[in-house]
Amino acid sequence: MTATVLIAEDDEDILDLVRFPLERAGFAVLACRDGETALRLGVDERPDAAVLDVQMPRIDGLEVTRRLRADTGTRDMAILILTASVREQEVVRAFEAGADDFLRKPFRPQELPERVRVVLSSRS
Amino acid sequence: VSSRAAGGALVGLLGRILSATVLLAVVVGVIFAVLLVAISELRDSAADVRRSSEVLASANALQRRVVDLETGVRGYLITRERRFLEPFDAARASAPPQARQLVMLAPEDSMQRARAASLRADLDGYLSDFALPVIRRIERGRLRSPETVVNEDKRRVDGMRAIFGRFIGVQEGIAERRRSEAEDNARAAVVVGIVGLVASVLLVLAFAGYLSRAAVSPIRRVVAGARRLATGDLSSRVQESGSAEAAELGRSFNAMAGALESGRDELETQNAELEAQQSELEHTVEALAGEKTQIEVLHRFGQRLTDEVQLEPLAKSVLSALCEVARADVGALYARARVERAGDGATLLAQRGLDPARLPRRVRAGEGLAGRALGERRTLAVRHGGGDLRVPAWGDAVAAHAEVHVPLRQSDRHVGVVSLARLADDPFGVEEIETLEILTAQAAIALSNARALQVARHQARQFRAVVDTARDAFVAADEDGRIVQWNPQAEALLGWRRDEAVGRAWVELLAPERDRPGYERWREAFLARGEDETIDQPIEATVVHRDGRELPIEALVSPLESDGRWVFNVFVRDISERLRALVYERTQNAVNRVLAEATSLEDAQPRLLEAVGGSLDWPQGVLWRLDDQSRELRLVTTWSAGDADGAEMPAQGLPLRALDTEGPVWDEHALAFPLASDGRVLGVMGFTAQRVVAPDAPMLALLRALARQIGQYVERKESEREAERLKDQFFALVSHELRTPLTSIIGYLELVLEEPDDLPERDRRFLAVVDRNAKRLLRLVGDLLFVAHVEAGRLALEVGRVDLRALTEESVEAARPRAQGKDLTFEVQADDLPPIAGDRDRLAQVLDNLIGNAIKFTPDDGRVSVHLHESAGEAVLEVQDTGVGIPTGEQSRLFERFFRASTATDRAIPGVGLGLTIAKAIVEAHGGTIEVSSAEGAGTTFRVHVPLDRPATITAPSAGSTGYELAS
Repeated sequence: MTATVLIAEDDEDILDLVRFPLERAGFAVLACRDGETALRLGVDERPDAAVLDVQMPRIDGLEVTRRLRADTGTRDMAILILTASVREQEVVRAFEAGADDFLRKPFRPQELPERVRVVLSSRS
Repeated sequence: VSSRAAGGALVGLLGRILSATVLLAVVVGVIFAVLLVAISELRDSAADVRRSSEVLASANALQRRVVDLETGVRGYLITRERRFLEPFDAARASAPPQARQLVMLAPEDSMQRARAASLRADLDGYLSDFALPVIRRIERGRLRSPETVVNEDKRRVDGMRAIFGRFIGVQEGIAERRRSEAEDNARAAVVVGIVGLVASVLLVLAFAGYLSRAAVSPIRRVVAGARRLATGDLSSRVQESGSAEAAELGRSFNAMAGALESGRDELETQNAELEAQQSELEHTVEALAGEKTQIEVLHRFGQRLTDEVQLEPLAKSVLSALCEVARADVGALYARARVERAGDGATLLAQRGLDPARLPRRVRAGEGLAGRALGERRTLAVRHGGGDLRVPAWGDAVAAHAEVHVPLRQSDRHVGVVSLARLADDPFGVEEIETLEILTAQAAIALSNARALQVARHQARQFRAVVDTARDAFVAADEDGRIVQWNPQAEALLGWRRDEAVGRAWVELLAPERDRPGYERWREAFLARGEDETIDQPIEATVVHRDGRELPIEALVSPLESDGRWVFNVFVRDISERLRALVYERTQNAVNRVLAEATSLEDAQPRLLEAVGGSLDWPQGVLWRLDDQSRELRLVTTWSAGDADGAEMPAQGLPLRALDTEGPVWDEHALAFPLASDGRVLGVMGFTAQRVVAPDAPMLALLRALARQIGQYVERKESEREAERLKDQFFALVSHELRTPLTSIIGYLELVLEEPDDLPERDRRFLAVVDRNAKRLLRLVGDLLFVAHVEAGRLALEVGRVDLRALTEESVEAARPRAQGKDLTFEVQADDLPPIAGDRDRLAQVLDNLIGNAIKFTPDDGRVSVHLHESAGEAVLEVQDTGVGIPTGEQSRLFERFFRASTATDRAIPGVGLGLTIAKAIVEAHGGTIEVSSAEGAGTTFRVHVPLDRPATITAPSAGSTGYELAS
């Protein structure tokens, strides 16, 4: 069964950079460029995993994570946070918000499917 | 003679007299007893005689009645006339009682008693059986034979008469016997009485004789002896015989007489001696009379000395007295005046008969005769022959014929000199000079005392002047703690006037209640030991002002012993201002310390309240910030001292007034002041206390300074925080905005270069350049952010156990390909070290940087060596190269950010100048140091020291954190 991954990233180039290796690895991808859409897609479509950028307009990735965790339907989603920040505090905040894993930009695209598979298996 | 013997002798004589008296009394008693017995018998005999006479009389009377009865009856019988019955009737009535009486009276003889009874019975029978019936028959005329009756009558009466005759006869015999017995008894009694009387008289006489012999005659002997003594016969003695007392008396008398005799002999001897002494005494009295005059002179002199205590009047008095005694016409007295020291000479104090203007004011030792007397300390007497000789020392108006100079000496110091002179040619005699010397010795003492007194008074005046003008208050108390000195400054400081304070107990007047026992103990301890370590040391204490205020003072206590009693001299200085200044200083220091040590504004705020409130003794504090928009006071923090309680100060009233006035305001229990910076009010600090004392000028100045200082601190901290926030924002932005395009570039390059063989050779080479430079750019961004963090003080280490040897070897291996690419000789020597506490990744960064630099700056075929060892508790890492080196002048700037050595820029060696800055920050975060030594063209050596024993307490690694990711 194909796992569905929700991607939220406001930079279109990076969105594609995330989507490409995941689709190539056989994941079904739901992509959006802001937090509100990500939240709606997350609740409506119930993807298996989400890769969320922290810095997005209106609702940031951490807030999306918190709300998904607060919703009973999406509580168990595997969530990987993507950030360009180098501050350790950001990592702490991500885990506090409920993220399962954390990936710093820039990242190796080839590494991404494997990281998603790991968080999915840890959730199932 | 012992008292026991005397007592025995006394009892002896008394005993004898007593026993003789008792004997006399017994004999006389016996005599009287015998006499009494005789008289008693005599009386009994007389009673018997009287009774016998009564019985006889009674018997005779009764017999007459019987005759009357018979004659009556017979007469009537014969005559028949009633007239003859009259005696009968009288006898008939009295006879029976008389018969009864007779029976009663005759008890002593049974025969007589029987006769009496028979008589009574016969009488009764006669009357009742015969006489009365006869009479009745006659009356009735029935008598038949009168003769028979007469015969019967006669018979009956004769019978009675016979009994009467016998009774009376016997009774008369008895009476006769009794009478003769009584007479015998009377005779015997008389004889006994006479014998007893004679015996008593004889005994009394014998007793008297004995007494005179035992007591009187020894006394008489002694009296006679004494009389002989009185006439001068001291050899008279008496007999020592007789009773014990008499013998004793004799012995005593003889002893007395003996003593008298020997006493008289001694007296006669002494008398002779006394007569000898008498004449001697008379000589002495004559001599004494002479001395008496001299003593009187001395006495009068001494009197004059004691009359005067002032130096100058005393000198005058002394001089005039000496002139009188010595009969000197003129004289002068020089003595040490008050201000002169011993040995200086002497000053003219008095003169007589001389013009003081012409006399030298002073005499020096050795100058002139007076000076010589003074210097040599001996009397000099001079006689001038010619009457017209004028002695310069005396002034030229006087011509003296005889002069004498006597030094005034006290022990062996000279006090002055007295010079006397006679105008007449009459030299001073030896005795006169002697007298003068004695008098001047006395005078010297008096003058010396007077001078000492004058000096003492002067010193006392000086002392008083010093005390009164002293800057400090001066209080002196005696041993009992009574105040004896109190200067004007003490009046000003303590509020009590001198006359109120002197005489009071200082402890009661000045000491707070709580300190009094301590002072008492101190005083007692001091008086017991006479010393104390607090003496002459300034001590701080508290005294109570007259108005009840407590004043902090500094006291200097100097006890002084005088005449065996202590006086405590105390200088008192008000140190309240000093203490206040200290408090202000302490407050300022506390605030400074808080401002210096506080890590943030939040940390500083309560500590500032504590620093101010704690130092100034205001136990509760509140800090408000002024909201810029709403212009309202917003509570920031409160503080209260450990033991303080009470209501919090409300954000109204006082704090609002502080805002309005822009300066400190206060009421009885609270105080507030605004915090301001550059005229902008930022907040208010408020404090409450039991009692807020109105701040004085220094306090207000302090509060204003604190308000400014704290205000500026708050503003600075807020500006810093704002700057920090902006910087953070900037770095976040930079981080995000730079890294986002790099993410795309590097990410897509990764994808493109996944299958390099699919690309033409040229594209592959070009894309590799893009990839390398993208990563370089990423590294640069990372370095910039790192440096920014370090400068913000935010470098956090993830401390763990680090094996430096392994780390060094890893770095060396990672760099080896580059070294080989340049054909460098690359060597490493790493010792095994104990693990250190440190951040592995950061230390690796340092190693990579230093090794990378060494390779980068060393030309081909050069040499790079890495050396790790331990030295003095530190790990030492040396990275040495044979590179271009660093000019000496640039070495000090090497660790500045973006600094690049000219040797690097000249050769266009790439770099931005952040590597060493980062390395230094990391090494220092580990408590280590980094240094460089280099010579241009000869290579460079970096040396890193990291302590081995540093405890791993920097920070705990945070979960999931991987720190900075500088490059992949």
